[in-house]
Amino acid sequence: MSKNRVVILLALLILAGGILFLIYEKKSYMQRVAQIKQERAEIEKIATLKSLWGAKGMQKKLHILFKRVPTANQERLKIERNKADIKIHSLNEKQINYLLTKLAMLPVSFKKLNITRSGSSFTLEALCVW
Amino acid sequence: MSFFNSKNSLLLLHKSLEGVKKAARYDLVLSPQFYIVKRETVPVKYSFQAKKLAPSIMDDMLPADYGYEYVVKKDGDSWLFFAYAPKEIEEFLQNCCNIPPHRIGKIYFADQLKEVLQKLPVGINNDYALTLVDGFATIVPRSMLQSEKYAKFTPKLRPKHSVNFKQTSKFDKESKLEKTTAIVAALLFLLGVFFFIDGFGYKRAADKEEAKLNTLYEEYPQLQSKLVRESIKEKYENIEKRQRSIRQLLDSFSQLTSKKTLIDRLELKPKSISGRFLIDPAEKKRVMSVATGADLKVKEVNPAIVEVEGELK
Repeated sequence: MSKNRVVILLALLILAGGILFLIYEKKSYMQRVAQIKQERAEIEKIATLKSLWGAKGMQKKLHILFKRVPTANQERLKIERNKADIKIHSLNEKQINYLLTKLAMLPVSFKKLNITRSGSSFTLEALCVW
Repeated sequence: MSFFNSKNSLLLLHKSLEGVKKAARYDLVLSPQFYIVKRETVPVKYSFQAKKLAPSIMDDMLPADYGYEYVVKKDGDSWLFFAYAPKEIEEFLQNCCNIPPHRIGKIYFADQLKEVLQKLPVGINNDYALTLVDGFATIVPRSMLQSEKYAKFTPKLRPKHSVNFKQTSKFDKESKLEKTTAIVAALLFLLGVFFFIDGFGYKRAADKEEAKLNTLYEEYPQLQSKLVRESIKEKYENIEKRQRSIRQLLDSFSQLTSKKTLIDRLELKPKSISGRFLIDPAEKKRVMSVATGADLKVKEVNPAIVEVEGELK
């Protein structure tokens, strides 16, 4: 084989190597980036959900909310670090509306929620966790 | 290697040449073995006119049609006519020293060394020397010369006026092919290198993305495992779904109430929220319409009481 052919063949081999290397790296980059994007999106979503449903300072917020309810009506009010067990009776229509609206606006999980009426007063019973 | 010496390597070309040092290009001082010279007085003024006469003047001296090239030089009142065969020179250099034709630069004739040869013969090898015989440069055996001293052929002996070497078309083609090959190979090589560089660019970009992800993992080390991630995500997604649904149903239930429609009981069950409403019969149509619109199930207990149930998603 002539020297010229060998030179061209070697150059072609380098070119082919370069093309294959580029294709491989580009493909693996695309796959990796897609995977990384998915992982990042997952982590960010978890972080958002966690900060929403595992919000800090909930104990304090609930204490402030139930401070407005007369102690005589508080049949049961246990507000702990990550849960609250509530039973409040003799609430008028305005009070029950206020409490229920405020509770629903807080990022707490309702495990139990009961409202019963006797005459013109209401009883609210709830178990919330966060 | 010198980057500043633009002159090619100078060779004294004779038939016993050997052991040539490697160089990019060679300028040749042709010994009389490679050319024929004739002095003639012709009534012309310019060298181009003399050159036109050269073939006819030298015709009887040239052994065969070997593709001769002619060079003329003014020497006093007469002209020196030189004839050399490029093909012969190319073949000789290729065979003796593996020097391809495209590496030949300029040529000179040994007769241009007249001033040096008048003083001392120039040694070619141990047996032969270049000297002047009847005013022409000639190679003679050293034994025929009286001289004990010989000048050494060095690049300092380079004559003043050079002639461009005329390559034969065959070697010219090969040389062009070699040049084209070199250019094409260089282009292919560069393209290959470019692809490699581009590939490394993708590799670096992937590493960068990986580093960003690792920073995120440092912030949330517990989320490094895919299983843990999926489990936590599922847990919070379920909470999110159920609690949003509870709030939507509570909102729908609140839309059922009015001054004449009062809530009597509301209960959160594992898969639904149910409520009992005391209604005014006149309000029944509105309650039904709102409940249906909110996708709630309505069950009439009696004309004044309805039970409503909404399923949690």
